[in-house]
Amino acid sequence: MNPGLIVVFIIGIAIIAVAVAIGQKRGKKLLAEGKIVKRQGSFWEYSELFTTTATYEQIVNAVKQTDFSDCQATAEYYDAEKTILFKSSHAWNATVTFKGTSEGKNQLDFRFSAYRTRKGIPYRVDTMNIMETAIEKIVLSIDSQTTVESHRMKLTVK
Amino acid sequence: MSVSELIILLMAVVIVVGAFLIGVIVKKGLNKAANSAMNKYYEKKEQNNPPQQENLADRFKNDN
Repeated sequence: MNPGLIVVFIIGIAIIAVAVAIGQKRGKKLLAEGKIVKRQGSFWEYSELFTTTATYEQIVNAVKQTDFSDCQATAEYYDAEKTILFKSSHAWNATVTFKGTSEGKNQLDFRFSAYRTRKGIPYRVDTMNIMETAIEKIVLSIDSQTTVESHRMKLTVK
Repeated sequence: MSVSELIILLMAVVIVVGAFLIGVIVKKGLNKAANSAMNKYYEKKEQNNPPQQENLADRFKNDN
């Protein structure tokens, strides 16, 4: 085998190993800082239905006071539809929507409404986890007794 | 370049572009079919095993 080819192969392996190590280190750091939690694989394919005493207005106020720069997301408010739309520069959108009340509690839906993937995996899963964790913390800060159900979404691939 | 060579070149271009377009259409079709099958599978799975409610606070326990 050509020695030059072997060197290129080794350099390639080294670059991949370094990239994986950096990714893992970042993941551990985010976990330690409480910015993410461990989640099931493909968590971005699941919507979260929160049953809580938190109201849409309380969520909006809390979102306005939260810094989403870690996931490079900005919030847009559609009060008529009671929906908050988050747009991230990491090629995903997420929504929080007030779905109504059940047994005296409010139901809020959180989901990643659109995202771009490479080989079936979104480009920056870590930022999606940061977003979802931030929303969960907001809901919990208003109502610590909040319950949650995960539903797999019907996906449409373009 | 003679006329016959030009025709062969044009035919080659048409074949390559056609093959590319067919590939794109087939890929989209396969994606759609696979997606539809997955959605049906998960829908059935959720019907048989409805999602359980969990306390949101539990997600933040032992996460370090």
